[in-house]
Amino acid sequence: MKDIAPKMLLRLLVGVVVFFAANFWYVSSGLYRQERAKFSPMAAKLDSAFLHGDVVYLGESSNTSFNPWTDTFGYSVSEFLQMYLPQNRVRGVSHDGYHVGLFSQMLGLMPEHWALRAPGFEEFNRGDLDAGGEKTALGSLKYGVSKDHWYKLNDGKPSRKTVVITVNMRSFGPSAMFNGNEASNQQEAIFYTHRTALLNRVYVSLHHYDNRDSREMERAKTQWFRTKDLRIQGGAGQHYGSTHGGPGLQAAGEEWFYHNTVKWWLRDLQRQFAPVSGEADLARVMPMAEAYLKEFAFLLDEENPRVKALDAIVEKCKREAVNVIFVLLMPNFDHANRLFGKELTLLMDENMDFLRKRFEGWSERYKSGNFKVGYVDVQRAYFDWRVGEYLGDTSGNGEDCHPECGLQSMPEFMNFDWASGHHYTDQWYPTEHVDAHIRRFIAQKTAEKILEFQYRDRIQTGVTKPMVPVIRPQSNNQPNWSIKMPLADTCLRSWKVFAAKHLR
Amino acid sequence: MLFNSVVYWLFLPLVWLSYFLLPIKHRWIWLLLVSYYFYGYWKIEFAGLMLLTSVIDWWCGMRVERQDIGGWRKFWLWFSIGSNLTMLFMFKYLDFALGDSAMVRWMSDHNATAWIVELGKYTIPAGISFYTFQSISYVVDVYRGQEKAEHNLPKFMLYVSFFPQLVAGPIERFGKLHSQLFSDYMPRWEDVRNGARLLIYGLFLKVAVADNLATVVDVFYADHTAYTQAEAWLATFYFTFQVYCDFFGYSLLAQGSALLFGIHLMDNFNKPFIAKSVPEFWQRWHISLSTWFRDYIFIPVGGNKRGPWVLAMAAMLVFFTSGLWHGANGTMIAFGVAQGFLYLFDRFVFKKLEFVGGHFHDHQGRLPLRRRLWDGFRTVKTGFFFMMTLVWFRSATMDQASEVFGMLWMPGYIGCRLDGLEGIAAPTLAHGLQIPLFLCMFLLLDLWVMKDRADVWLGKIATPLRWLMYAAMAVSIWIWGGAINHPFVYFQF
Repeated sequence: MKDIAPKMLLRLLVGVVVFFAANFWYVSSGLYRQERAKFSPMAAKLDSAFLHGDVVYLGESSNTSFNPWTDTFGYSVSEFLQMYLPQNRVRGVSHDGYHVGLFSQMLGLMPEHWALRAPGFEEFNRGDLDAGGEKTALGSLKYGVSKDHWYKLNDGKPSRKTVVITVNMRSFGPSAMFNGNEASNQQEAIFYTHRTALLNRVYVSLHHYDNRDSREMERAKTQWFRTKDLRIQGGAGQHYGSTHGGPGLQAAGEEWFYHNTVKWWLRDLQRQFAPVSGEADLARVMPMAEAYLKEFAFLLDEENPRVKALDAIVEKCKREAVNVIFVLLMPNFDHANRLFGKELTLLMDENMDFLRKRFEGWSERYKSGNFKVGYVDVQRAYFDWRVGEYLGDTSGNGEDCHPECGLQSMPEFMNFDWASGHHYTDQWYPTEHVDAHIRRFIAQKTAEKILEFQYRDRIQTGVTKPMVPVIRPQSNNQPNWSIKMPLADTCLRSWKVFAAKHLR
Repeated sequence: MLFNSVVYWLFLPLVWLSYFLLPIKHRWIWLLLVSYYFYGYWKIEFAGLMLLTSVIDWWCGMRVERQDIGGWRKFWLWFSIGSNLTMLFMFKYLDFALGDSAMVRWMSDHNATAWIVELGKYTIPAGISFYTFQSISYVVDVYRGQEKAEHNLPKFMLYVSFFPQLVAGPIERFGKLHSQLFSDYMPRWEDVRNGARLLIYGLFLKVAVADNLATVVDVFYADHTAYTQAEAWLATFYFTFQVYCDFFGYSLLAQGSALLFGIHLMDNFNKPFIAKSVPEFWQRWHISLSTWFRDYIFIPVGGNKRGPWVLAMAAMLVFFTSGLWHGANGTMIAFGVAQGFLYLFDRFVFKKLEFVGGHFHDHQGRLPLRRRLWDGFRTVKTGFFFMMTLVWFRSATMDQASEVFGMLWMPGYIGCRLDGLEGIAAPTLAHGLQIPLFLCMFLLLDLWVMKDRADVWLGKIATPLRWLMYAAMAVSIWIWGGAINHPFVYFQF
């Protein structure tokens, strides 16, 4: 061993030298920049957003999706947000299928002391240096002149810098967590850290990330569907009289709770298909119903990795003294209700409440001080607005209350618990893609929350009037709701009788 | 744990260092523990399955050795083979055999049995085919009296689970591996150096060559109908070398890892693409499996000593089993059967055309041009046939294989994209220059330059050139490694 050790050490040393030489060449030749852009297009966008933005909006597809047939305005939520906040630089970074787990990793690219930096701070400073001293092309803007000066200005005041995180409840569920695209997302996430460039590339080559293939993901998902209990413990919706199976099954309590696991639910759905088949649109309804079950039938708990990601986001923002605002998106309760009734919507509500409580706790805890946490509960905010709208309240929320909007005349709007399904762009699949009316609404509420946290000083331009178009709700491409929905409240009772007699 | 993972490259040096720091008589215990850790790192429950296999075969080996009555010896032999094949069947073929039958539906409807269906459907314990075959060979060798039974269970467990060759071979014989595992070996610089050379070359083949080729092949097979006939040929050609570099690279990594511990594993590949016939090809490709089939199936059922019909049947049985061994799928069986027919074609038909090549030597003892051309033709023919059968190997379903064959051989085949149609935004196979570059580099090295195994050849070339090659391979792995997440092809077997 003694004669081997020096030879090995020498070769190891050479290896290290070659590694760093290769790294130097890799970066200086511009190859790394190209590769980073190729493997992780979002990383470059994030760099730019953190460099130029006051408010960085991290979103998923719901930010940018719009209905090309009915949306008069194709603006994304972040673009609407910019209209509401003309005194801030809003930068939206969105990617389909992203979730809080990835947003948490994306914050790894947040520059050090970002909270203290003026927008474009580096650019101005570079101008400073080029000019050889104090003056810059933007010298009249005091915050661009020198770092020290800016630090003095900002001393003791809460940061203007805000990160907006879209929170999609569906993305906490098994279908999203064990998605076949997750490995590719995790590969992108390698570049969301300030690591040695070549090491990042080596990690890509050696697949040093959660690289479970679609088969493994499918297995994990199936296992979840089979084993995870859907009974709500200790909540208002405590239900399920006994375990599934056996003729003695009777729900103790509210009668609409019937299925203990997603697996049983899916099985009943398939069996229910036969009695109600024959409708032309059922071939479209069944996959939709199955998707709603797989996407929404779960219960959140503290062990959920995406819940932990939320904690990590707050921790990171707290360390950097950057305000964070969570936008809790509004799932399509209306369609879920029509498909499965309260059995599903109560689970959805339970999950939404779980997240609300968490956000509420944080906003209470960080009420004072340099760091603040806020949240926009789109569903509740929309509820408030709609009540105001229905009652003809033009004072508080009356901006959109217009005699011609005709809300009162639409019977489905009488249900104020959730927004009507017609606001959703995807009518045959559970998404949170909403029309311009709601996108604008989300932006408005987010802007209000951001302004609530921001202090006002000389930096602000004084432009406070939002430059936002008025958008009225209008009918979307609605499915044919006259067809009989499998396992909906109205069908469940007869189904249970049928199942008890013939199936169990 | 995968050889091409960061974790393995931390695991290996740590295990190696600690192995030689321990007293000699305790080293094998450490090796056993880390081997189980290596396997259990992927899924701990499957380490239990390997333990079960080891215990059964260890027990059967002793029974076979101790029994004097032939009938009982045979009983224990078949008990061992039966238990191994049952486990293989349960985890690898059950889902295929049952399909979507009423029984499966019944099982999946009941929580008590649903997990079995899930297990069969979504999970195959890594390397189960390899360690099962290795374990069977031990009991058969004991039965034949070629080996003495191992009475120490943990020592036998180490033979089955030795981590470098655990999940994808080479399938080692008991006599060769066992003696090396328990020798009083002291680390030698030559072994460390050669092991390191094999490791870097193996990793280069896997990460830089095979994984880059996979970026084209995977894209093609994900939606083959979106591509042209030329692209179908390109993907088929690339896959041939992808599977070769992938498995060859893996075998070198296994050999290199074992060599660090002073253990010489058998060569699994010997330039298969210079083979002139299918029988020769299989003597050069996946040698450990081919010799296993030869020794434990082909010869026992008759081999080539009992006339052409028995030989044909034995060969077809071997290739059918080989296909089935590769996977519980119709495409794999088709691959095996096609190889069987090609084998017989070469053995009985093409052999009669040998006269076309003329004499083997001219009057000066050199190979005449006519013979060289004939041999060249045979080499290309063998490689080409192999490439064609790999369409089945790579396709997910028989339908896909049929469509790819259609695309390859019939211009304008339905589903094949036609060039020149305006307005069709068809995707193209996006790949960089490095793929053909790496492939050419590899082919040049493998077919013409390297006359010996990589470690030996690297030792023979001039030092500056050698170091230049090390640096080039390291940088290729670091910077141009394929980004598609593609585990070793043979892991699924």
